[in-house]
Amino acid sequence: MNYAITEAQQALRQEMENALGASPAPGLSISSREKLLPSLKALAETSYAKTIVKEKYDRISVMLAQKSMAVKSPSLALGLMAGMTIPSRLLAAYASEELKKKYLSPLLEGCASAAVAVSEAGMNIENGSLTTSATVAGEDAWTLQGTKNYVWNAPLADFFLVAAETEQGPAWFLLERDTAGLEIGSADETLGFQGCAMGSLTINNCQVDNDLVIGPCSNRNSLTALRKWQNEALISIALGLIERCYITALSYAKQHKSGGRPIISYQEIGFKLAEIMTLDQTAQLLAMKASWAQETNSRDTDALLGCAKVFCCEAAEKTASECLQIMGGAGYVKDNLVAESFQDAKYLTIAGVSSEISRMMIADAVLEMY
Amino acid sequence: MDFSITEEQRVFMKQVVRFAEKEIAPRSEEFDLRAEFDVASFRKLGDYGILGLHFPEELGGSGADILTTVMAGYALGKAGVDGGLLLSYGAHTFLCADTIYVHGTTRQKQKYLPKLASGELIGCMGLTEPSAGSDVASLKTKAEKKGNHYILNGSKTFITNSSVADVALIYAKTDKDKGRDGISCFIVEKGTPGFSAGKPFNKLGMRTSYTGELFFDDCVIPAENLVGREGAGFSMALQTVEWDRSALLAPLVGFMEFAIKKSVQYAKQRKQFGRPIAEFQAIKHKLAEMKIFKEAAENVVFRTAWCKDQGKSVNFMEAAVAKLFVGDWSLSPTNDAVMLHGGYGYCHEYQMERIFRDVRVAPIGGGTSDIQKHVISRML
Repeated sequence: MNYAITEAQQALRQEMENALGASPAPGLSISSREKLLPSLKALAETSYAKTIVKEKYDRISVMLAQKSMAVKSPSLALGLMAGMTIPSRLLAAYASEELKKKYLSPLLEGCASAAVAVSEAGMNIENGSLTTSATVAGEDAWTLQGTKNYVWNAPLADFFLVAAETEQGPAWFLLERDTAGLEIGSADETLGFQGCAMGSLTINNCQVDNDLVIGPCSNRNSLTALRKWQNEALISIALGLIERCYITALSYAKQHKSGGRPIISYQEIGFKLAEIMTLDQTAQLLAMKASWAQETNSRDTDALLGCAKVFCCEAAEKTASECLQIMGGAGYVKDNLVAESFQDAKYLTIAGVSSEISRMMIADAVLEMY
Repeated sequence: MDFSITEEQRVFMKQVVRFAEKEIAPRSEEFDLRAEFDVASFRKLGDYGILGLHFPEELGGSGADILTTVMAGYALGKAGVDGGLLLSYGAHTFLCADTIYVHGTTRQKQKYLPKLASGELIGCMGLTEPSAGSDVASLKTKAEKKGNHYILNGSKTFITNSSVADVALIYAKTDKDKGRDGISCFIVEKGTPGFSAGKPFNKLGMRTSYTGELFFDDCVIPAENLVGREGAGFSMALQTVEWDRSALLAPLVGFMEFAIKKSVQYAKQRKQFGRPIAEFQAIKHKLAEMKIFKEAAENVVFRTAWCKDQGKSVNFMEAAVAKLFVGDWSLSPTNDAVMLHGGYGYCHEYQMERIFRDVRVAPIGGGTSDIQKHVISRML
């Protein structure tokens, strides 16, 4: 065992901080193409892009690098991971060489962004099947029909990886932005993550050529893999969110005075910060262990990732709330970093595999162990 | 970072679990009911090599690293050994023997450690007093030097192994005007005139471990029983309580794994409304809570041990984080384990009741959760 972050693990984070900036930036937005592209470009210049599409890589390095994006801005981290990281991983793992050349390369070079469209208003991935359907249309094409909701980066993406149900099981269909019949809704107004864009897709009899299809897969492997990538992304955002709130509230508590002394010297404040720090360190260790375990064959791997998802995301919610409490009025005003994080945090327990479904999956794994 | 454990550590933990499940855990119920220290089991821990695991072979140990040592505590908890016996082991090995090992003279080490490692002698540590808990500097027991002797006067309380200990490591003031710098540490042997132990307290949990008072009434000990130098007791005590905040926590994490196993077995066979209760989400939710706690806690506890292995003798922050997390976050999943068992959870033979009582000390002993928050907040 080694609980210290190695120099090699530090290196990617350092690169990331050099490229995107390290200090927390409240109100940062990449919700328009003009704003998104420079960030994608900066990201492409780090070795992050090359790393994440490898079959095997040091997961802890990547977790730390993604965390540093979220320390700067959770919206930045979510926008980049939804627009670049996750679609890249999906293409790298499942797409043909031709598709990779045409679509993965521009993503890794920072010239394009994509969106992975799975969610639908009336379903969830664990318990239901997709209502978006793909039917065979002649020998070389498919017809797609359906609606996708809550798709991050949809308003900005150059192309979409759309999950649809075929007779043989789910498959991924690559739709370019200008595909006939594809309507892209305007950006949703959301409680948090206001710096990146979420939207819906209406798919009206879209024709998709066979060579733009990944699958169909008789099992749900790619959907399971997607959920893991999403969870890893959300865990890293949770860690970054915790840190930005914590350092902001800590520095406030040291500077702000009440009754002639800094408020951190009062137990009501100092002890709260001690608890937050304990949550922070515990969450980090659990997240690192869970991501490390993804490269092992331990039978506990899935449960561990579920534990990290629930713990880190709920810790982020609690941390944001307590830090706001410490900041008092100064934390409650608009455009404040902690207020922004407080709004963002709620999404983390909802997105990916929700806390509720995660707990059921953890319990299923536990029930199998004994 | 790398979370892999060695094959040796994996096999060792497995062996300890098997040994404890067979030899020790079956006796826990009976001794807990009688609130009696199980000296035979304690000696078995010695025979198995656990009591002196991290001491060098020439002093009766096995030369294990601290991480492996802490893993043994985890494995004992996982096997379902009661908390009391493990508390006795912790106080004996880490609070008493380890201090002699780190700070004692060669003669002291040779005299006591082999017998402490084997379990032939039982050790305890006396720091807390009726009016001095976490505020160590305010302790009142005094040790006056007279020629080749020290004369001890005062009393200690909440001392684990108080009435069964053959070797007591006692912190006392050699200079009452100096606060924490006036504290020194002494070995006091059972049977020394003027040294006596009170009747063990009747506690909520950890009932097989004796906790009580020690009295010193003109107790004369040889000057050579001073451990370390005069006035160095405070820093020694700090180093000692760090064990409280790492090695002594490991069994509590092990209990959670034990509780998960028991709960799974129960939930699968217990049927209500025509199906095993394991199928109800409310039951699964509890299992998940227990698992999440166990996974989170294991890392913070093992990390403290790892830090010690890196040669850092004090790791205040890591230790306080581990202690605060295990202390405050263990109560709810332990409660879940009881609730999952319903009425049976409230009864002794299903063991969750005992674990519930034993774990309740986690945020109290070795510095309360508030003290940990105090320690952490001052370092921020």
